[in-house]
Amino acid sequence: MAIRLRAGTWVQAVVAATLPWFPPSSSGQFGPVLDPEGAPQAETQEEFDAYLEIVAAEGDSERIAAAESFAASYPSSALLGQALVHGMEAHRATDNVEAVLRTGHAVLNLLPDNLRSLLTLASAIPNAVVDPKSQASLLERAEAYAIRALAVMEAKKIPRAIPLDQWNALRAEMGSEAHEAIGHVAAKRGDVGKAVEEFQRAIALSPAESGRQHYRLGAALARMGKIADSREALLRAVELGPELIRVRSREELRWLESASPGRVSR
Amino acid sequence: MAVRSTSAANCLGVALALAAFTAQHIHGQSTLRLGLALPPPPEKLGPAGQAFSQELLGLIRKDEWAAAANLAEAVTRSPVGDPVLNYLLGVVHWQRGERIQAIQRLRTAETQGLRESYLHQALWLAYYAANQFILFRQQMQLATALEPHDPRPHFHLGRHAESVAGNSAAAMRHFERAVSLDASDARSQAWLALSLERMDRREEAAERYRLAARLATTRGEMFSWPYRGLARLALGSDPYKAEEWALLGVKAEPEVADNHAVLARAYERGGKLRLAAEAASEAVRLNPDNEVSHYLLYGVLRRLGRPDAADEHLSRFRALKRVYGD
Repeated sequence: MAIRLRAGTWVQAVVAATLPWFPPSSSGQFGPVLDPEGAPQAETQEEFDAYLEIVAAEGDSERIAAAESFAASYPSSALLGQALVHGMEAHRATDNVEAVLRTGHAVLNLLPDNLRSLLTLASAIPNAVVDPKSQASLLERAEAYAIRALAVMEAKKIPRAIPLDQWNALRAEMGSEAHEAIGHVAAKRGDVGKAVEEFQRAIALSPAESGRQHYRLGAALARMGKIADSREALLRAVELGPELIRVRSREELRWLESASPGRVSR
Repeated sequence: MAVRSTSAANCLGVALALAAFTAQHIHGQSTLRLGLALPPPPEKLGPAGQAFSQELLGLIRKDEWAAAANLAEAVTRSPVGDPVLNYLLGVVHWQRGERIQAIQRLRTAETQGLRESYLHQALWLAYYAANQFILFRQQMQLATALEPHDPRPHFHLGRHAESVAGNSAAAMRHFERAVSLDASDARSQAWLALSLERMDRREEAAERYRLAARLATTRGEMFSWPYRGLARLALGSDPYKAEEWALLGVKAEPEVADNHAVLARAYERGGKLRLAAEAASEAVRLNPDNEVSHYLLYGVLRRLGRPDAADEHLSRFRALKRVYGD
């Protein structure tokens, strides 16, 4: 059964900075076929046809079905890892955390340095953690994936088809995702000081401001009692959106107002 | 509510587009553009040709791509059972940059029983663009079996051997076969020269480069590759001759960064440091991500007594080297 994360109360949100699964942008990836020397090779036209079915699928459920069919038909294909990445992304788009974790781990078995999977898992796992104490090992894994992603990014050699400036922007975006995930893990553990630090780093790195990151920062700051800073971050999250973030941020602001009316309204 | 990631199609789509339109680098030197235009459709359709196919063929042959796309869109609202029409639809998709759909249409045409050399040529070009080299070679064999005197499969096999497999000896054999079938093709001659140069058969390489230059001139092609090759070969022994060749390369294709880089090296060898700095700067401007040009400019600027400016390019060289590797 798919794990679907529900909108929690404001208390849960403040404590855990958890959102219904908001996958971070993952545009910081590129297909392996971009690199002529490293492109995985299909052995037959039928195998490549099946891979293209995944890539060209118009909807998430179609993509998931195509990826599963590919995995069943071509279990030793050189393209299998990438096929599973597409399936994982489609699961992510449908908020099916359980399936994301399953496919993400399958990808990492085949492609241990796949950045998309490392970042996706690092982001997804904290959302699946309901009880941080009994699920501490899951949080450890999420953190390890994020740290691994940062290390892979640092050492990664890229195809020349990607200009350096573009790579630097992608790397910053992925680095931002990794720090956000580490911050999220810290928030789940109750280490709000570290969470704030990591969320701030994520915001500083991100090429495009993210309402989700400001919301998470605001929630963590509120927990530290830094009311004015929290308000500032939450107001920015309201500006940036999207709508669910606005709703959550306004809830936070109302709570701050009720908790410390004099300090919040100034 | 989820923030959607970049569409999955982008990964492959970007790769296909880049493979088709971006010059590839080999050891810091840009190679010839791939020129992946799909082969022209048949002059006339067979008796089985349907009305849509005839109309689409007419639009394609007149380069009326917008009208062809409109017609293709109308046609594909229902399943297409005619393989030639599927081939033509593939050509339209390709022209519009829709590479994945193009391959899918070409494959449909093949599975529907089309067995013409133009289809196999289209498929091997498409697979080459997608970096699917096993499939590329399979289609190449089918195309060659149908048209044994066509030099293009041998040319592309040579390209693959040289630029992807890094096997100059194998590449040379393919290029030799290609030029034996069409000795007037400047590109095949130039690639053959490159393979010879890589194998350190310098005199033969120079001879081929000269031949390629003559052929390009005869055909009125602005083709700098042979001049750049000749300049490279002359650098060690005669920097002034290298300068002459490099200038011809820049004149033929001034937008190619490597032409300016070779010119800079010729100037530097000849002691013309200011001109070398200018040429290297132009190479860097045209291709800011080529670490070799940054290192070249670093060296020239140091010799000109401008260490601060030189160090900027050394830093950039190191950053690029770290990311792109060897």
